[in-house]
Amino acid sequence: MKDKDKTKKQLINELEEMRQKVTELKAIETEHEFAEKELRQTKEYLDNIIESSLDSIVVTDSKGYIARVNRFFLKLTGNREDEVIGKHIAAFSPPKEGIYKTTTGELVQINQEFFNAIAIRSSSLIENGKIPLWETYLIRKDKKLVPVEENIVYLFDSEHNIIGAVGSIRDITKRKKVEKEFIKVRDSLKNKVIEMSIINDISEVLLSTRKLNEILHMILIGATSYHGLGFNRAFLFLINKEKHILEGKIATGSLSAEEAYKIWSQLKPASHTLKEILKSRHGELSKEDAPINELVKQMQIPLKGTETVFTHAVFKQKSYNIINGKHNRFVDNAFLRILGTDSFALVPLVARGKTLGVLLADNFVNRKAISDEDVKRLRAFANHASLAIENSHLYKSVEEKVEELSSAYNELKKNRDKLLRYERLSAVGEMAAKVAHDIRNPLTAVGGFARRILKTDQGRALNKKYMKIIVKEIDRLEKILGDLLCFTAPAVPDFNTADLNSIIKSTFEILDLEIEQNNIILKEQLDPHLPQLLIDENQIRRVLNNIIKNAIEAMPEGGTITVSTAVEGQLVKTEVHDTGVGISDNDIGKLFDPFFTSKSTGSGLGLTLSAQIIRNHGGTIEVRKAEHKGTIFTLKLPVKTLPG
Amino acid sequence: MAGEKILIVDDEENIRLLYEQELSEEGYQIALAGDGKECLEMIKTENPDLVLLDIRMPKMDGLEAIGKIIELNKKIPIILNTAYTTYKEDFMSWAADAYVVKSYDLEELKSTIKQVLEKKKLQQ
Repeated sequence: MKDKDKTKKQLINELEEMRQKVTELKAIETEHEFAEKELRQTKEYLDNIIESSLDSIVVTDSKGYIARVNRFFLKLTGNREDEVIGKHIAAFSPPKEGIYKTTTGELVQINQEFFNAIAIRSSSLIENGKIPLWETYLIRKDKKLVPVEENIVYLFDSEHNIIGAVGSIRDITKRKKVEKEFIKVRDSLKNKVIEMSIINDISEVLLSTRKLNEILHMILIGATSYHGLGFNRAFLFLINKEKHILEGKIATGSLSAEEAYKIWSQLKPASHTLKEILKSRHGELSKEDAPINELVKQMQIPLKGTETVFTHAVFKQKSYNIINGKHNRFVDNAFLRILGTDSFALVPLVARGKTLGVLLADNFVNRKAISDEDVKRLRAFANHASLAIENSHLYKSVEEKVEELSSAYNELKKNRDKLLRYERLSAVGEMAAKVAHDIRNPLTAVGGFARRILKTDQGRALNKKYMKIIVKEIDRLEKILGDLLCFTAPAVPDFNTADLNSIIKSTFEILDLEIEQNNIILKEQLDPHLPQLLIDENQIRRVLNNIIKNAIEAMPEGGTITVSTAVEGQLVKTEVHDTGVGISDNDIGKLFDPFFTSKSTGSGLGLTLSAQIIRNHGGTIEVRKAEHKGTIFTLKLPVKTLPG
Repeated sequence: MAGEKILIVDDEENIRLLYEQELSEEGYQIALAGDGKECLEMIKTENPDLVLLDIRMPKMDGLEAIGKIIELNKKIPIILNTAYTTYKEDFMSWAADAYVVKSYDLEELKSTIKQVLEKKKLQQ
């Protein structure tokens, strides 16, 4: 029975142990209950945080599989909750390289760089347990990218094991849009500033010249130089209104791409400013530009008939950025072949609302795409260039007007000088007339007595010689006096019908002696059918006398005088042709001026007086050099009849 | 030769002397007067065949004298002899038979005198 006792004791012990264990278990269970409650509270707390957050929240497990998201994340990505939970977080990043549309409305290029950036950030997450705020894209269900800002932290357990991660993500579409607008405004401002400075530079230089060729060339340099608009080539066409065409005027750049590339690659962005380039190349083409200029000068683009980008540019004043012109029905394919490219910018040259021509520019060499911004800038540039062209036209026409005015002014001045001379002369004349009259009486007395002495034999030989001199000099004095008086107070013609031929003959008779003494042959070619003229016979004889005496004096070695008369419409023409020394070109214009004389003995009034007499008769008197030798005087008198 | 009598009217003594000598050599008889008034007196006393009349003279000028001479005797021919060409335009000068501008060369004057006297003879 000893065993029985032992067993009993053992049982009691075992029971005690069991009771203790139950107590222990109960304590553990309580502890667990407490922990569970705590956990539940924590979870609720977290849920509250997640749900109440204004950002999108994603909770993943340690491997990156999504465990929880809030409604903002669902809204952000455009998914239902069941489409998200359990998916890997990477499914919400752009899957591969390519061009994606974004919620800001632009296209972005996702390339390897993007994925590299993600990898760098992932490793930073593993190393530091968190990623500070960074910008990236999430992809939405509709494949659009949303620009976001995100912040990721790891979740650890009490043993510091990673149990997951929480990402807080914010949609920054609006901010990006504003930024985009800002950049656009900033870029357009920048462009404006560039435009302004180019235009300013060009305007300044363009204003320095008014020669059309120089201006055109500067426009091309402005369009193609590195500091200008930076196009590879430029062509300028001006409208020819009569032919209804655009005529190629000037161009710069190359014809062959290889050749061009060689030149282009050697061309470093010069250290010269645009202004310096423009100034240094004043209106001069570089050698490389010769072939393209040959080409452009042969280009004639019709403006009648078919509608083309050119007719639109000219008549609608539109600018074009032609990309892939082969497929543009308004672009002639033959033209593109000549050009060697199918992309170009075309802008009208408009000044004061009027189209002068067009400016075409392309990037033939580096094949760089032409942006709409480039075209806009080219247009603004063309507007200024057009003004310069127009100004040059205006200047030219002003210049012509000035020329006209100045020649009119000179004419006027000449006439004024003449008038002044006559005026002065008439004042002098008045005084001279008075003096002349007063001189005549003593002249008559002195001369008369001198002649008397000369006539008588009383004077000794020597006295006689002196008397001769006195008489000769008085003769000259009286002649001067006579001319002068006639000139200062020209007699009103006493018109009577007379026969010009007989007046000529009688004049020759008076000059008979002089003609003979000077070995002069006289030739008369008188028209026997001349009408009677209404003239002052004495005055006309005086004129003929003057002219024939002049002719005699022009031939000291002898010669021929030919006098001819003829009817010429309503005029009777008389020509006196001598074979004398002739008159110099310089003197021929002054011949009728008062006091002009090439002779030592003349008064210089004879021809002036003759001209006045002919004018008083309503006729003309002219003098010209004869073709072979000598001088020809031409008198033209109107055929008039007696009034009544 | 019983030459015609010419009355020379001129205020310039030297001219009168020149004309007197030259014309008397031509065979004319000469009477002299120094102004218009004297001229009229002489016409009355001397009864000349021709009057050679200067225009610009003191007291009475030649143009005024013409009128007076014609009043006295319409038939006496008058030759105006002056330094001026301008009086040709004065209608009073048209009353004269001739108008000769003064010159030291008296040929024109002499021939005019001859013509006028011949014309006068023909009219008588």
